[in-house]
Amino acid sequence: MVIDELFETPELRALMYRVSVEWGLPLDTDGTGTDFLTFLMWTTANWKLVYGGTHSLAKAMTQACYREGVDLIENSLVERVIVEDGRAVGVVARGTEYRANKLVASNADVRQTLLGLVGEEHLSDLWVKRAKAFRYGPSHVLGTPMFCLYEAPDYSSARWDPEINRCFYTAVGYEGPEDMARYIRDAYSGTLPKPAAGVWVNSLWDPAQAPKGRHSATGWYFLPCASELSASEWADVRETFNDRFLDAWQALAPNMTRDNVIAHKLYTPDQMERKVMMREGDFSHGEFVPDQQGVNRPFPEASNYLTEIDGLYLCGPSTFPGGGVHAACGYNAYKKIAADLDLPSPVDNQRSY
Amino acid sequence: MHANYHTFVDMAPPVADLEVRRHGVEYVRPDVQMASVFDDGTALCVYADIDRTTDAMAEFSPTDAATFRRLYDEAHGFVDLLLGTLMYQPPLSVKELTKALATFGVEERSEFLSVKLRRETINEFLDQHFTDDRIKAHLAFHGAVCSYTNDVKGLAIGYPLLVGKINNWHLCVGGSHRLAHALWRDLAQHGGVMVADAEVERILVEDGRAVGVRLASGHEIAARKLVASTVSAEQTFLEFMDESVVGEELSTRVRNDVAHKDWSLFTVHLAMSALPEYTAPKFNPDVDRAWVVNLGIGSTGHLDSDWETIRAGSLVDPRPNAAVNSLYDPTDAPEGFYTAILRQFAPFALADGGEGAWERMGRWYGHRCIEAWRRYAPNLTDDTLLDWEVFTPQDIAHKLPNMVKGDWMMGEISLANMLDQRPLPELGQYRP
Ligand SMILES: Cc1cc2nc3c(=O)[nH]c(=O)nc-3n(C[C@H](O)[C@H](O)[C@H](O)COP(=O)(O)OP(=O)(O)OC[C@H]3O[C@@H](n4cnc5c(N)ncnc54)[C@H](O)[C@@H]3O)c2cc1C
Ligand SMILES: Cc1cc2nc3c(=O)[nH]c(=O)nc-3n(C[C@H](O)[C@H](O)[C@H](O)COP(=O)(O)OP(=O)(O)OC[C@H]3O[C@@H](n4cnc5c(N)ncnc54)[C@H](O)[C@@H]3O)c2cc1C
Repeated sequence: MVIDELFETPELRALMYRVSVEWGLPLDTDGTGTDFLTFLMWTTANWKLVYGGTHSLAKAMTQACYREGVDLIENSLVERVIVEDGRAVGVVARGTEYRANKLVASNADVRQTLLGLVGEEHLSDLWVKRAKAFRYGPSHVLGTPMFCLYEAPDYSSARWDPEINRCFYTAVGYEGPEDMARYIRDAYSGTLPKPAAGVWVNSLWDPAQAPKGRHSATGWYFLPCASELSASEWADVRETFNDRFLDAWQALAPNMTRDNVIAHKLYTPDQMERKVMMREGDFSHGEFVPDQQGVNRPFPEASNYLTEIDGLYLCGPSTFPGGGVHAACGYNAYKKIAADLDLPSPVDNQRSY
Repeated sequence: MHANYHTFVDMAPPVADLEVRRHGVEYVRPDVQMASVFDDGTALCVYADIDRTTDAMAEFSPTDAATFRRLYDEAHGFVDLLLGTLMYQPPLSVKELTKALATFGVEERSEFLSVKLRRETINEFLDQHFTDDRIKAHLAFHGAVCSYTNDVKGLAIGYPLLVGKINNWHLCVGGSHRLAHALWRDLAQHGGVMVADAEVERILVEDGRAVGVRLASGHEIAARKLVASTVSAEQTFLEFMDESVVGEELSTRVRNDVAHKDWSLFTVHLAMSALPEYTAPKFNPDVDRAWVVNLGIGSTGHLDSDWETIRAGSLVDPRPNAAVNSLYDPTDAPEGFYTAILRQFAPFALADGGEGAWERMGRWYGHRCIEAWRRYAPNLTDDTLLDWEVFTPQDIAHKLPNMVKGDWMMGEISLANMLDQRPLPELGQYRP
């Protein structure tokens, strides 16, 4: 509603709808207008690309950990949080027990942490109820297509504004705000929407992402939650959806023919669920709705990152403020941990937060 | 993606010095290390346990089995000496080596090692000592997988070392990048910094001294003491520095005379819902648990004619080798699913179309490799192959520009390019 009140150009409204939903602000939910005004507007035009791909950021964080003497144990599923006398004292990962010196902090979502790793027997009835009531998606469920291209897309509308060919993020396949809204509502209600996407051609800015003279593009489709489709339906989506999207893309950028595509793949929510345990493919590890947002995230009693198990903290996207590459969940969790255990504060004097 | 078989584990000093296990590397040494399945329905397994290997060979030829055992014992006994003198110290010349071997009295003390080996091919070595075609084929195949081509003169000299570690093949749990991460962690914990995803474009030279590098981003990194390059001689001396700095003579030598392998590797990576069930188990059931399986190279002649075809830039009828990592690493795939790697010896550039031809041939050749596997493991129907991707020789060169012409050994493996001759005599002691 706020978008409709503030903007009259249909094109702009369509774009704002889309960006809004990407950041977890559903179109039809009361109360999200404030977030739109306070949160979304200032992130506009601050979008950045990590040279070499986002894993470069993960690598930099890994290196920072190594330098501090942190051990990362890779390739090991945490099976259990060890609770003794009501206190979290370690974890079991791939059969090996690791004892905690001070605390256990879990980046897994609140349900997985409490019900999967801790176990109901260590929890109060209220916490079991709350954890069970925590819901995933459809707010942050995406599919990621990847295209290896000979040429970068050359849009017909470049005649109107040539900058479109050098735009970082381009919404492709929506006729206007109504179409965008329908698309989003389809995905949210478990229906496969018509193919349309936000796309970006990283190789335009980062030559490391494609061989010389070639390009790579990725994008986002909004897709239904993983459990809305069967395994074979998802397999079918992977087989066909990119192809259908290419038709829409070619209509706007005539050089986006099949011949221009060297290879392509689609990464779907069910795969994300399997690969990184993002339940339902929800990258915020929990639906964005007022009763799971802000001080209610993941639920009121757990909103300050500490659980009712002594020494067990939550630090992942199911806590405030949610998913996204901003590290705020972990940062805030550490502030709480630092206060509880008398550790150094992360706030340095150059910065007030 | 590439270095799947780690064969120097617990032999190479850096494994211990850099404490790779403390840094999270887990190694598995599969009990059935390797196997060959042959067209006659037989199969030969090499086990971590050398007694079992000898028994398996005895099914083919008791004499050869006994010879193999003596060769293994001798080579294994020399492994330390060979590693110490040949690998883990700056290189000797062939002359010095010959002299050292003579002083050591190698001809009297050893049945298999001899100075003569520097003039022989692995084929000749095998013909002198073994009789059974299939045993010879397996042993030659084993050399080839280690990049020691069986028909190249002089390579017999390194062959005993390969046999000495024939049962020391290890799998890095979670994939070989775990080893890279361990090395990285050791570096970082000792104050080093890895700059990832950054292309080095120049070596900065001042007054004839390397003083740093410049990245493609324009960022410069100054060297406190030195610059060490792990990439190819071509990149280092032709691309990173101007000829005026390197000198015309060295530039010309690097441009013309650095030798590269005359064959590369074509790979198919597979995700599967079944493990291969070979038709050979009637002969030896352990073949189903072999980590790496040679599919059908049944004589050294087979390999010889393949090399001939490959060197002419053509594709052979595939006889790939199949490695099923999930047999020994359950973390490589979800429960009930499996991964595999098919690897086929192949030319870098095709006579018809050069290396660029791989772009259109890759998928097709991948299919053919899978069909070749299916001949020996018919249960691997299309339904069981969930997905597969090829990694062609051209991909190797694209992804790793240091592997010039898809040369996965970064330099020809031949006597003329070994020891202090590698990559060129003037660069043989690690600096110009
Ligand atoms: C398709 C897609 C596109 C996105 N695009 C953007 C974007 O452009 N910008 C942006 O800011 N955000 C984006 N996001 C959101 C962002 O990726 C996530 O919010 C962010 O990665 C969360 O970071 P994290 O480290 O907390 O958790 P994750 O990145 O989810 O990492 C959690 C890790 O824990 C592991 N794990 C889970 N359970 C266990 C267990 N029991 N034992 C051991 N390990 C376990 C997982 O395997 C995973 O590696 C996107 C998300 C998706 C899915
Ligand atoms: C398909 C294949 C299979 C193989 N199988 C095995 C095996 O089973 N067992 C085994 O022991 N060996 C195997 N090898 C060989 C083994 O992978 C190599 O010998 C080994 O990786 C060499 O290690 P390295 O660190 O010297 O170089 P590399 O591993 O090649 O690393 C060099 C790095 O430098 C980077 N680089 C190149 N140019 C630049 C630049 N200008 N700026 C910045 N970075 C640059 C590359 O991208 C690469 O990351 C295989 C190789 C291939 C290709």
